[in-house]
Amino acid sequence: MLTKKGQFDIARKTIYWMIAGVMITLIVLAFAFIFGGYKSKLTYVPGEIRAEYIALRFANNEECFAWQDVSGIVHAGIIDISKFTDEQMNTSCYFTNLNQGYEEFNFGVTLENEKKSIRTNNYYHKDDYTLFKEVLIRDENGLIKKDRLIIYVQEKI
Amino acid sequence: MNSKGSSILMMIFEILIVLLTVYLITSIAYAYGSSTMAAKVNAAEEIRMMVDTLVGVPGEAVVEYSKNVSQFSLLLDNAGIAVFEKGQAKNLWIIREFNLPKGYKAEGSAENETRVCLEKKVKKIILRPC
Repeated sequence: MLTKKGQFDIARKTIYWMIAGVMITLIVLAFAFIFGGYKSKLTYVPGEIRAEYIALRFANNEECFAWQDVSGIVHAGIIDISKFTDEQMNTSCYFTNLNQGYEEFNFGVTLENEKKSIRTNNYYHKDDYTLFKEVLIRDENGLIKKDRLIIYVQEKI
Repeated sequence: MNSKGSSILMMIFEILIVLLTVYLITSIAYAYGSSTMAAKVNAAEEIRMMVDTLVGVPGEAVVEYSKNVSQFSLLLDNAGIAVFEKGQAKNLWIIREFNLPKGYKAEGSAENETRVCLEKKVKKIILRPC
């Protein structure tokens, strides 16, 4: 038979462990959460870096806007103004999924001096940041001029 | 049950709780500390950026991925890069997608290779052991 002191001890410890149980659960969860956050930080890649790499193609790839001469040589950094169209962008250069493409990188690209703008198929002017590239443009007459490519980057909607 | 019996039972219960807590915290720390997940994610992200860079480079090029990927299998196709461990369920694969320009193709694989290379040949990007 338990004495009154014994009964009190058991009741006290039960209450103690009920509170301690909640606290221990919270500590374990917090521990897991902190580690999860740490792991995310370890694998985080800033969007600007990826956008820079993707944007390299605009001025350097012949399927985008880089000028390719009659012998087939691609002139990196020289934009063929006749190629600088939405159609070229969306059929050859960079195309995102019609339904889910807004979750990917999309671009609005402007030639500053030419005042000509094109965009990818899921670009909705929700700019996250802007990239700038000094380029040369080759017009229809074969003249080469200096210009600046302004690349508006929409990471995700 | 007498007072002594119940206090022994309580003590056993307390020891069990302490051991369980220590086990849980240690296992969480071990799982994160020994996890290859971060290494897989980093490899997939970096290879995707290498593909994007190769697309933006005129002409042909070969780039060696600087990290040891002998723990993993790599699979490159037109849609993206997959990094996984041999025999791992597909839902645990780390997949990173990319967009290639028209006419471009990406292909190749490497299984438990120390060094892998990405090669751009005309309009094809090939993943292969170096």
